[in-house]
Amino acid sequence: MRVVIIGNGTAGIHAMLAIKRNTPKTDVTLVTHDEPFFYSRPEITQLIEDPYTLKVIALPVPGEILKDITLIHQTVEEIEPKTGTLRLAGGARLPYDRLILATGAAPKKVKIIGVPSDAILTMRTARDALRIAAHLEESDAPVILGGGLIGLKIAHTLARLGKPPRVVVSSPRLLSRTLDSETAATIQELFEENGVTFHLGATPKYADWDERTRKGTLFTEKGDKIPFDLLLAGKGVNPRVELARQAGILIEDGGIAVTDSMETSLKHHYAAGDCASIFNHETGRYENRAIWPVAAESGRIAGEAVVGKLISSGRFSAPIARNAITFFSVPMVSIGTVQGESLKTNVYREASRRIVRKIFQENGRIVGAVLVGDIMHAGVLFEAVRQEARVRQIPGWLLRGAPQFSQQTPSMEVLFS
Amino acid sequence: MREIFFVPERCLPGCNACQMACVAEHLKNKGLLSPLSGLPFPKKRQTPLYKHSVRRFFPHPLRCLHCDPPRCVESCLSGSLIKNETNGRVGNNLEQCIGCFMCVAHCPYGAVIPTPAEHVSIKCDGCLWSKAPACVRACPSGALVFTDSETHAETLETQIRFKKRKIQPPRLSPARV
Repeated sequence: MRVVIIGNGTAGIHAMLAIKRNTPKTDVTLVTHDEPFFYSRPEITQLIEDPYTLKVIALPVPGEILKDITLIHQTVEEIEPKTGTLRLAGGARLPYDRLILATGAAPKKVKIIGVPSDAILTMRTARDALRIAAHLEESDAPVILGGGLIGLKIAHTLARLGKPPRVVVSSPRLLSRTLDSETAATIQELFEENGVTFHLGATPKYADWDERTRKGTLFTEKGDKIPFDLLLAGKGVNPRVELARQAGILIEDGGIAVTDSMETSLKHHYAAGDCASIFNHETGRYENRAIWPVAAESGRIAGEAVVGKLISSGRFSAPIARNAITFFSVPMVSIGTVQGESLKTNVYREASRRIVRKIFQENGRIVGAVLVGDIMHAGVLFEAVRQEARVRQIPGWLLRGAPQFSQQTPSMEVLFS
Repeated sequence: MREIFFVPERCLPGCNACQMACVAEHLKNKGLLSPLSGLPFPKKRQTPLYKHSVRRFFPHPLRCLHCDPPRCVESCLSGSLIKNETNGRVGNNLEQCIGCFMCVAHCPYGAVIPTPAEHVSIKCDGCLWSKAPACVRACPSGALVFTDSETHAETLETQIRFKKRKIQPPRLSPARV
């Protein structure tokens, strides 16, 4: 059986590993138009700091598996599901029995009147990061559009390099989808201490830009004038579904609709990672969630399903949003629902160490958590959110983050009874 | 797959040989002499957190269950967490860890712990390079047992049977697991 995987991101790697571990004799071909090796996308900000870390951010793949697969460095132009072939750029054809689409996502393009769209740099691949690094050498006033996780991660890198940027955020506060207002203010304070300037609630209107000197001024609707010589955008991502759409595969919520075993609407065609929309059994809708652990888990499930070795292990944990990130040595975790008027909030604060731990409850169930400064037991909270644990009172060790030496498997019923 | 089992009745409180062995095993030269002779001497861990944990529980290494598939490994951004395919133990390669703490946010047992100063996550790796974990090798009273769960359950049953017949069980009382 010949399996072809499109994409060498997280989902592609985990699909490949799952196939090779279960059935080592399966013929696996990986097609990618990104760098022809495996590296970690979230780590590419390290490339801005030092371009020679490309080796460091490479992901370890066992040598015997690496020898056994075929890696094609080429763009896929079209999927022909009737004949089971891929048409590659350059006219070559690649037959397949099973296809895994792990095409990932592309950064959202930002349009500002007065600046050509290719002058606004985005960050997704190693090549993008190296391009930013090259432009940054001549830049003194970088401006970042977007106050989400991507925007702040770039801002963090630039501030550490000694070129603190200005960040233009259209919503009234930072990380409006990840954090609640109190912790967002804490993070904002942290960035401002390190020299980053924020323009909150500022929608870019137009810009004066000189192509020769690459300098310009950005005008916002509030009337701010922001000088810049480098524009970077971190406004989130869009799933790349052009190939699937051409092949007639069902698209939902912007991504490729998949079942619990990652199969698309076409038989023998699977999808995983940022390009896939996974069915949420709670809401009855397909949801696209572009985060690393979902990509890794869905990639593994797709790989196991392709070779028929999928052991059903309950429902997929994708529906819960979660993220962990460290800014200026302050770790931060956000899990589940963190905003809403009907939420009951349990808070633990320690101002001297800049610790805020919040656990959100709705109808007695834990639905979300925000941990800043001390992230102990974040995983226990994630599991509680996943199992919708009913809690009368949050145990003190969970709220305060004291280490718990528990021997029992913490089944949530035992933990929270 | 063999696991570490803890028998609380056999544990000698205050012995802490398992902890020392764990530290020694994870040092580069596998010995405690150099850190002990080197200055400064480690501080006493008399923080409220430490007191709290000691008062309620014996410290013991049964935190990581080495899940299959391990969620921490799947969530690791840098590829530093690795599951050893032959013995099934999960370990963290600290030189590659970038301290994103995705693993901390995904371990349902709270077994992966963030270190505040070094910005890496640490966990019990079951000494995946050796035949048996260092804590088990160091335990003087047999409170830590390294075996598979079936064998351990059998041993426990034998102990309970002895107790029911009101015969003194061989050396030690039955264990709760």
